Amino acid sequence: MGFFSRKKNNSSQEIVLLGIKGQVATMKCLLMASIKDVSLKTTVTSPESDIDQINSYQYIGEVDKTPTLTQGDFSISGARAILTFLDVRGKGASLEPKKARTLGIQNYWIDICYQTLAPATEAVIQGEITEQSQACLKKVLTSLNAILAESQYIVGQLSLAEPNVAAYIYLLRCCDYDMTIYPNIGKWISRLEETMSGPLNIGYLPTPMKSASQVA
Amino acid sequence: MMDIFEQRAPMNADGGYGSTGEMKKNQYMLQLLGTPWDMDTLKCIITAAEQGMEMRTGYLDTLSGEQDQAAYRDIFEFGTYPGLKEADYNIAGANGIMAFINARGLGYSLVPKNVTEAATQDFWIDIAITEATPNVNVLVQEQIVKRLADTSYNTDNIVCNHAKEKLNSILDALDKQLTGKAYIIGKYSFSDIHWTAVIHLLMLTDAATMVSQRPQILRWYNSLASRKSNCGQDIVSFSLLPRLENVQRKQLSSVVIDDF
Repeated sequence: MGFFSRKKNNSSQEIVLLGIKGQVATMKCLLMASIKDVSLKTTVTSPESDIDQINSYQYIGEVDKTPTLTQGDFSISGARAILTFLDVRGKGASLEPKKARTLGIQNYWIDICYQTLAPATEAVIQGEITEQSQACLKKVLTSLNAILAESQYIVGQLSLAEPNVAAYIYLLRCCDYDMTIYPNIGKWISRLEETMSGPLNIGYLPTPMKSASQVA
Repeated sequence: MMDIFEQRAPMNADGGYGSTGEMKKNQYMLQLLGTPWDMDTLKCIITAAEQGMEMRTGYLDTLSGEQDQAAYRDIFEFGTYPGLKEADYNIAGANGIMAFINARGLGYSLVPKNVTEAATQDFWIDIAITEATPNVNVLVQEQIVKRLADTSYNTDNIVCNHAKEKLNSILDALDKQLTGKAYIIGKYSFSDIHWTAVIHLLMLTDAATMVSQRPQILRWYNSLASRKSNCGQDIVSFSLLPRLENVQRKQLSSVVIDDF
């Protein structure tokens, strides 16, 4: 490379997202893109097999994963990595809190999503909710509702916890899970939608296999 | 009343530096509760050593469900572990603790500034958590942990072989990624810490040969044994990882910094 030559700049190239309809990981990416006002060319396919609502990605075929984001010659899979990418590429300051303690709490809630909220939400979607998963879900939602009574956002400021948690709330709503007893979560979603270019496109949401009210 | 951190990971048990509070250092000293066979616990110890943060560690008896008892749940309502305390601040789970220590610590950030490197780092962390960890955990549970609870336990070889089979392609991918690189994404980052914990515990099982058969992983893993910490202090994080006998004795290393 010559002394005055420039590195190839991919940042103006179109960003393409490949996802699955109703997959929580895909929804996290779409929410993040909306919050950070990133223009995405989105291809959302319908699932050929069961949707994995637990992990950050799932395989489609032997090698390919979804969600996958591509910009120019750069391609990355999984909600964790895609959210990081969109956070930097998007408009405004990073959603990563600067204060160590707040950053820790943000990541704590992201861990709670993967470890506790995800399995419970999947049980609701599959119509296989047990007493234990119902109790887990209630505990997390009660805790969030209490936090959001005191605070505008989960860690006090808009952070990566928002797209991570909100994706499950959209899914639960879609399954007619009774969210009326958590009014602060509802208000928080409305606040979040005000920061976005609009509410999440309903076309990306899943068709529930069985209503939660039928099995609870 | 003494909390569970003071019981298990007392800060001043040895009457050492700061034990009388005169140096005000206590407020920056960390206390961690976890288990030596838990990858998340090991990741937190490595991060503290890399970032030059002193940390007292204590054993959380997850074999008897201590994470679900009131003394722990009163602090961490979902029973998430490992748990960390810094003065009046508590945080649980590897990602929260690691991010907190990274931001608090002395070394340069373990998160790359370049966006594609940061995303690539997260991708490899995801592979470690999503694909490698469940299978390595099967081996660790079957070959080590279940025997701690019941010495007559017979390892389920079918389950272990299935886990090894799944690990083959994952380790192949890591080996390929490490080709031509000192670390997973080129420079040392959180992805190396996640994978260090995974590979270290795998090395304690009968599947250690899966690592030694992969030259790039082996080179990377061996290089960690002599790698000085990220913060420039005279500490090697790798040296704090438990050996098999430490795991069997339920021992965790604390992070002690001598060269302030």
